[in-house]
Amino acid sequence: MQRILTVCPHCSCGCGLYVLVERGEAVGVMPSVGHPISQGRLCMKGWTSFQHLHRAERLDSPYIRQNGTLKRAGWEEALTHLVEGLGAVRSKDGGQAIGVWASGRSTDEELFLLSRLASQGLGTTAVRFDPSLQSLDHIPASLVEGFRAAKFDEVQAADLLLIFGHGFPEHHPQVASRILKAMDEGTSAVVISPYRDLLAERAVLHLRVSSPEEVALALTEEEPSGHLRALWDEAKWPLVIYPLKSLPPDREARLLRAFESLLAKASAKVLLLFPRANSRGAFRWKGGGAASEPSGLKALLVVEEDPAAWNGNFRELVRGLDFLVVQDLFLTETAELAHVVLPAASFAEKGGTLTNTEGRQQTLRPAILPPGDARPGWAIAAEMARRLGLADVGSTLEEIQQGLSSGQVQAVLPAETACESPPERFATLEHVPNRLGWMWLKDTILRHTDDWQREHQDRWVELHPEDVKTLGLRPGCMVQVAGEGGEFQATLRISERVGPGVLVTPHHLFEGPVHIERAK
Amino acid sequence: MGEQMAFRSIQVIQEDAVPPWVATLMREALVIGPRGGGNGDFQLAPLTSVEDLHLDYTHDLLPPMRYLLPPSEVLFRFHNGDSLALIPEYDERRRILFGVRSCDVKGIRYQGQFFHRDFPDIYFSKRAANAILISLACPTPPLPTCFCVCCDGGPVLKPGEGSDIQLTPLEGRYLVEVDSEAGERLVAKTPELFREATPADLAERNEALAEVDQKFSTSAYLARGIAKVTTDAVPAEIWEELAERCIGCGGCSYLCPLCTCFTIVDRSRDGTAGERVRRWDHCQSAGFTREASGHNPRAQKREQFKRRFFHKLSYQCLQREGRPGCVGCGRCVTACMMGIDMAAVLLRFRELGRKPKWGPPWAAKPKTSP
Repeated sequence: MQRILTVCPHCSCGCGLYVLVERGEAVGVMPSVGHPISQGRLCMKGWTSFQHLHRAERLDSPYIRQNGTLKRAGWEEALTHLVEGLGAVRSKDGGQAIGVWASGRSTDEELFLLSRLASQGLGTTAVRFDPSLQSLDHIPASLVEGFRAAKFDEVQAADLLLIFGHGFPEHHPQVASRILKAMDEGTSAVVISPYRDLLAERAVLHLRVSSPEEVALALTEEEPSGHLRALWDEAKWPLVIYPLKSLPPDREARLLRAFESLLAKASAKVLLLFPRANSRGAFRWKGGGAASEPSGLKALLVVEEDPAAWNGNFRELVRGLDFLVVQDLFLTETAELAHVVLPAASFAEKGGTLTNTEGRQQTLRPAILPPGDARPGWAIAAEMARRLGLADVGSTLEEIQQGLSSGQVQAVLPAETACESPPERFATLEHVPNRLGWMWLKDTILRHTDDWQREHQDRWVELHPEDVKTLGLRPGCMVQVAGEGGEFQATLRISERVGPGVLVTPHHLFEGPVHIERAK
Repeated sequence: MGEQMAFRSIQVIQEDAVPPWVATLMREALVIGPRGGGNGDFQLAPLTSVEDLHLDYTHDLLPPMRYLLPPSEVLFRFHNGDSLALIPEYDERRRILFGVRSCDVKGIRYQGQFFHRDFPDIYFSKRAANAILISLACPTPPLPTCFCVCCDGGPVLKPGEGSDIQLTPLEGRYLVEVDSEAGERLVAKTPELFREATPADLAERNEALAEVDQKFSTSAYLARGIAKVTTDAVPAEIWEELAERCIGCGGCSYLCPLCTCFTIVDRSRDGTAGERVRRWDHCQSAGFTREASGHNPRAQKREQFKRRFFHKLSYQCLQREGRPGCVGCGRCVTACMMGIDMAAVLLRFRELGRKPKWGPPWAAKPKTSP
């Protein structure tokens, strides 16, 4: 059994893990003890990160759509088809009609190549790196880079933790572990979140509010008032912790501006948590350039994301395209609609770097070979770029990395595309995405992980007992939930962890408020 | 057993004679020994040269029993043509596990007992039958997380406790206690590298081990834990309090040298051909006990959590396995993100009725705004 040290592909903590290899197969993973993040520990996502690698349904060949159905094809044929298809859209509607979406776990090298491919090969700025972040440009660099941006180890050093949000053990387990340890050792924590979770129960103060941005703003007011303000003023080494994407972009922007004001307190620090393994890398690659029109996309190149599975709006967007290219490990909902499908290597089958939420750039190492004709993302992007007229992209990972460090990159602004939250249709309950769903419903890898399929079969929503009574529902009954982006049936759970007027669902099923009724 | 037994022979090998000995062993079989894995991680892995050998290692986070019960393995391949064909895959490679810690030897023997009872497991048996254990005793606990001394897991093995050869580090040399025929054969290959142990060697060993109990920094109150779990003296709210912290990662089970559980998955593209895989599994997940009907006898976290500790600590385990279900290797102490490992839980049981170790959580209720 060989062990190859690499990086976990899931959240932005960036655990160091070994892929255990026996006769060319990944038979397991284990954490590195010496690695500063994992320190011998992984969460369920990490421990199961090998389970999707040898699934029979892994894509092992390119596919192209012929007479309405997807047919196996060779790389040459698929890439020719791809260049023609994108070329046709470009000559008819202009390059700006072509969108390029890279995944939150695409490596730095892949992001670099895709940004060049978009700007120089396709002539578009309609680029989204990590579409799970609806927007990156409202995140002030001062909160991410520089000495006021905290590292994980500083959780232990702080004397007051100001925690905005819930579900840390699910979305950033290594941070939750450090917070809990600090709290066990007597560090005071204040939790500002509509959901009372493990950390909120142990906090000296739990503010169950639905507008955390107002709480943060109130802290910056000149006239001190309230318990929280007293704690903040007393604290010598306060640390603010916030998982990005817990709020809609406009409110998140307000919250982040408030954080900037909080840093007026000289000893205060901020720890922003990016959602995915390389969201921080995606943030770093953003630059100047003009934003594209949000609508008007006619073609899309999607790398390891499954927008059709996110919600109805995205499904409509994807369905309405003239040309769709999907590069992924599996035949996702989006891929089933594609004109060209390209099989990609997994995290354990390719090289490259991922940047964790602290800014640690870490090396992925190939441990096994990809199935069949699947290729690493960097190789696919380089080949696409070459065929789109970029002669100098390099053909090995080393050459690409040289290009990357010499600053060949043309800055591209990740632009907003369609699917903004439309006007409110339902206003029954405030929707709080509980990340207990571990991004399960939107995460292609987790959806193809045996243990995740087994553990998260049920769709559920959580309501406060009062609401259950008012609505005349019974715990355990099936309810119909409708909101922006779709509707679905789920089992009703009753819980005092949620406040009245709030509906909790597994991670981000909807945007905006939701409407609930008894299932038909 | 125990008292009457003695080692077949007790010899001594000089430190610098170990590499040549290992070189001869490598001609004999696949030698899996301690290596520096980089990144500060030691691992027990196949040696490609004697230079790889790091006998000054601490331990491997992956218990060596995983060479006998791998994290996942193909049990058989199948194809369904004219008739259904099942082609089993056995692993009968000869392995010498060199430098295994005492606790891990006990773990491997426990696994052997489990997999030979009721339904002998042919996959495990074939690997175990071809594995020779050369263990390394611990006159100093290798890690601060070690607590074998509380659990009858080590730090040194007595005759008949499962090692083929036990090495104990002495000044510039190792004491070599041979405890099986297979072990005798391995020593007899190169008799020139060994000499009979003298009373002085034994005295040095005894002296080194005399104080070892005092050198452990983690304590586990095992006997008390066994009594409390067996008599159901742990209140429900304590189980709740502990289980609430569990994030169900499974690390404690995957890395436990005594955990035997696995699940089965079939991998097949179209159902006509494919393979059946067995893979490590753990009891801290709901799917582990969910029945085909959908009913789950242990759907709640606290039930799953209680089950794990009941399984390992109750008197039933002692009776069935002849030992408690923990050897004190300390791997769960390293692996648990939320501080509810075996040692911490035993400590919590000890403090029932007292102020808990962790503060401020349980004593005072948090202030929740209206």
